[in-house]
Amino acid sequence: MSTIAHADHDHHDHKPTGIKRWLFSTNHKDIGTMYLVFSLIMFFIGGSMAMIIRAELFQPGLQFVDPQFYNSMVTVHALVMIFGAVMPAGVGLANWMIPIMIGAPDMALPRMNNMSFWIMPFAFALLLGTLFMEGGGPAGGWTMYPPLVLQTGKAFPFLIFAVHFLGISSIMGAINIIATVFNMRAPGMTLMRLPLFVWTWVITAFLLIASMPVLAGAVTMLLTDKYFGTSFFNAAGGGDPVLFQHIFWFFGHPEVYILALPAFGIVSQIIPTFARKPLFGYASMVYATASIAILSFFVWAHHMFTVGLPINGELFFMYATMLIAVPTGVKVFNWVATMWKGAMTFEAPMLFALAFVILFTIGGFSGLMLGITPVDFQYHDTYFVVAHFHYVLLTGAVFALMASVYYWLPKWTGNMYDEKLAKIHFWLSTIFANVLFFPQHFLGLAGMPRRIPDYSVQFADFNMVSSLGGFAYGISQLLFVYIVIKCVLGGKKATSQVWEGARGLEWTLSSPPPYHSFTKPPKVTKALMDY
Amino acid sequence: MVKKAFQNNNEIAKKRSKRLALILGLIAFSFYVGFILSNVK
Repeated sequence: MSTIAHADHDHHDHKPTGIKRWLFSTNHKDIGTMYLVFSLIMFFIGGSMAMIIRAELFQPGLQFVDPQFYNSMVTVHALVMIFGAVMPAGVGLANWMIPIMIGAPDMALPRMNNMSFWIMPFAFALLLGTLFMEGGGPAGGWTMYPPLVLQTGKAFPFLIFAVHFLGISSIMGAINIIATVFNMRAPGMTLMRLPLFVWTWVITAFLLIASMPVLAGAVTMLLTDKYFGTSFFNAAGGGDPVLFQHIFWFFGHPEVYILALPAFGIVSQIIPTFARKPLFGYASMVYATASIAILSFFVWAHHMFTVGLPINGELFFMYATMLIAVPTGVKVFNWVATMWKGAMTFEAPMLFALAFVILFTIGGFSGLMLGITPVDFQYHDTYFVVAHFHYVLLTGAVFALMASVYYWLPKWTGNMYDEKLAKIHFWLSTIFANVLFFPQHFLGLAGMPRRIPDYSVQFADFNMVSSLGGFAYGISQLLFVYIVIKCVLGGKKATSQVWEGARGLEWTLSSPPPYHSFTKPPKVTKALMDY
Repeated sequence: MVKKAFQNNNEIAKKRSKRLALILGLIAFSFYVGFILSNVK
């Protein structure tokens, strides 16, 4: 630790004030904060839609909303949670942490950074505004399959433009991350010394650049089919609706890893800290992450086994899907091996990281089940799929995000959060997330289709349990907001190191870090990064 | 603010970042256009 040349940043801590600080900000910490706050707001907007869905499904029959509005809620909940909550939270963490993890003064392209954030509120204003339009919001599912999505009313062009804007924002963010990591690293910060969080984000950024234009292309084609008389997906005009499914999932499966890889990076930072041991198999973690990213481009058709693919095609995509379990298994093995004989303590970040490892693995296993072609014919479009991807995205990605907030909040604010309340938040979240989603496996196996507002009475009991879990999970997240606000306003002062077992450049800065950090590049040595 | 943040960063890194951003942006845009054009019959 002593080998680092500390940056002289005491004289550079002046910052703009008022609305201009946020509106015109080019500071990576401010932009990171805006991303995180935006993501939290979207998490609650998307969450309130989930509450409407679970209220409607509390018992059989139509209770509260009409089916069209229910379908809108299902569609917009997914779009908000994926593009508005989980992705921006990941980008927010990247903005905050990557420059201070690699010893850079800021992101490589600060003005573009500002633009990529401010596009998002406008995109979501377009999307959420459709809920108040005549005919309601988009209701064809987040996958936007034609010809169903082409029946959307006035909301359609707003949906398409919102998706375009979100794509532009994500690509600009991805370019910025790649440029920052490749050009702004401090002397001595070699690629194989990069913290795992940085590595996972670099690989995620490449995934974004390769997959987002494909989504943009697909929705542009939808737009021209609807308004300009083309027939990309219109069978009557010589097009093919299944083509859209291929294009969408060519984007959609890498998108899953865009959401999951940063979560892997977060957990790979937290477990060594609280196990007080170096990460087991650092190089294999990097290669496993890259392997998952590459393989994610060759598995898309496992989402569409039931459309009538040639048998050889189905077999190829089944085997390719199974193959992803290998690098993912390497990761889970390495996390467990890192903890093996470690001097572990169980603060809130570690608890969330451990829950991630266990519950994400459950989601991974149900994913393997869905990836087996003949079996998928039974599970396809049932609640089993809903249970699977919520284990991956909620108890996976969102739990890792919660872990990261508790892990880095003392660094960001300079104050320790309330550990007792955070542990209560962890247990409430973990118990009720399982009460919410585990019964949905049984519902799916029993044949309950997804995206329906009413169901047969045989599914009533598990739906009631699931809804109760959903309400309790939703309410317990208010505790998270309270803990964060309480920490921002004050609390026990955090040291620079914050956690005894933490290693890396970010922990050499004060808590909170100066407004302009590493204006003189630090010198990174092996001793700084190691145990 | 931008100047401040980069006062000790050399010009080469700035140039390289802009060039890399341009290349990656062009790649993304060509994916977008290429994907649409490849599906035009």
